[in-house]
Amino acid sequence: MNGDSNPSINASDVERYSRQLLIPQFGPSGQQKLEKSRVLVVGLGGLGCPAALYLAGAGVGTIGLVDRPNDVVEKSNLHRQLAHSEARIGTNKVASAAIAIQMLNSNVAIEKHESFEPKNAVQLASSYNLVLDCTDNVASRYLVSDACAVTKTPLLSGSAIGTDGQLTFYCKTADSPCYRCIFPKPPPSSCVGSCDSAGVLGPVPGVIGTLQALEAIKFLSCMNLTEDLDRRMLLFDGSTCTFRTVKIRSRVNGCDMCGESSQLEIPAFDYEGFARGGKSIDKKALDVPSHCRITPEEFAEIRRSGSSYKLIDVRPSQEFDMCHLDEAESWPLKSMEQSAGMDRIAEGTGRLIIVCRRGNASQTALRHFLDAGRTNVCDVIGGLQAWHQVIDNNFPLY
Amino acid sequence: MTNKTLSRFVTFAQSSYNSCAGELIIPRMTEQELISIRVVFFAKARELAAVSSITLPIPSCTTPHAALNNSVLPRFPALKPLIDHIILAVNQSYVSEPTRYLQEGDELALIPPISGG
Ligand SMILES: [Zn+2]
Repeated sequence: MNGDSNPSINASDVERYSRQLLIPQFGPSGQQKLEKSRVLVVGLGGLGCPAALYLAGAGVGTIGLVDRPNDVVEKSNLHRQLAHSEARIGTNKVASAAIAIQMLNSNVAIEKHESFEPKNAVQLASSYNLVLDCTDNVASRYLVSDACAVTKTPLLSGSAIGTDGQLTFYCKTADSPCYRCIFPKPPPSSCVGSCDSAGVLGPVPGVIGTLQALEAIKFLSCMNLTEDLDRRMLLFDGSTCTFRTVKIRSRVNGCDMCGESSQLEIPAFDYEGFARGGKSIDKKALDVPSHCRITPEEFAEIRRSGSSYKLIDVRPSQEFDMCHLDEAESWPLKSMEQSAGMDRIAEGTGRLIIVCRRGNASQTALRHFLDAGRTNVCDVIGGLQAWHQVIDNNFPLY
Repeated sequence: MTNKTLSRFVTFAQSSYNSCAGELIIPRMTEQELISIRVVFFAKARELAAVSSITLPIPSCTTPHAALNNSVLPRFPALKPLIDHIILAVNQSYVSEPTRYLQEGDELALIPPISGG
């Protein structure tokens, strides 16, 4: 650094961090600030894995890790959650990510937390300089933002699904918006896919999580760059490989959380219920009589007995193409619900068994059949996921 | 500013003043000229509209919110459940209140939240 030697960076660290120390706006002072920084990564999935690894690589002093207590590494995570590994399938994600971070940079102090919930969110957020929202669901996004708004902790919020990603800063300054300022009402669940249901190409959260780490490093090291993502949202369209930013609004005075007359009590707020608020699933549609539902064991027995039935698989066709039971006929719920499909429903009298991925869509389909006056029709509780778990673990789980 | 660009500016200002009467009022739908705007759909909005962007003729003197409700939505009814939950941006800037009219060539972006990770 222009011939200066900085006594507080030891020789080994100069070597380790040399390539970033060479960046003029970063330099040794940036490195020292990083080493004194405390960052909380909420969610160790497709966003949290690259974000946490890059923060660790750069030498952030303390990294807090938290995810759902029961969230363990699954085989279907490995295409995008690269901090985990085949050997750690079944391991808690926080524990697995901690191992990866430790292997990359043993200088980093890791703080493992069991959960991020309304009762501990505020206390957790307040003990960090910066929070990274790497969660995968609507309820958690409101909770993370609320905790950051009330503790005035800057929040870098990333999200990704399919081939799309978004990244912005919330709660960075007194004028910055929180998540509720921008999205006061959660969208209906039919409009919010999850990576589990809608799919995601691995590098898409990889891009966003990596940029989250970049923005975090610039912020924590106090690099004096003229523009950041405060009141700007980055939009990434991976299908055309296009980045755009839009200016977003400042803090809203009447915001339910960060507004002047906010009375929102985080520990008492029902986040799950709030996130479900716009839920578009028709309650009546799921209200099917219990005698019309069979367990995977009962279905296995029917299959073994050789009695005649028709198995209708109501998942989308690409999921049917991924895997299906041999005798199944594909009839996606979506096409069933079109008028031509509704006409077909009333046809025939033989025994029908309906199956889907998890036993939800099959109930909706079952309701359509019952409403059309069909009898002798049932659905499989828990769907093909339960089939994998109780009957045939060779049947793919996805 | 040269005289030429100044005079062009004045002409433009006058024409938009004349056609919109300067005030934010609901324009009469008769004797309206059309302008064309670019509508850009992101994430779930792109999926529901089944298109990433279109050029759409709208009446002049239309606010972004009115364009959304009166021109975009009738053409893409599938967007209905999403419409109260999006960021609406004109030329890459968030618009919260209908305080301006769209101009010829403006870009109206519909940006729904993404929650996955
Ligand atoms: Zn707010």
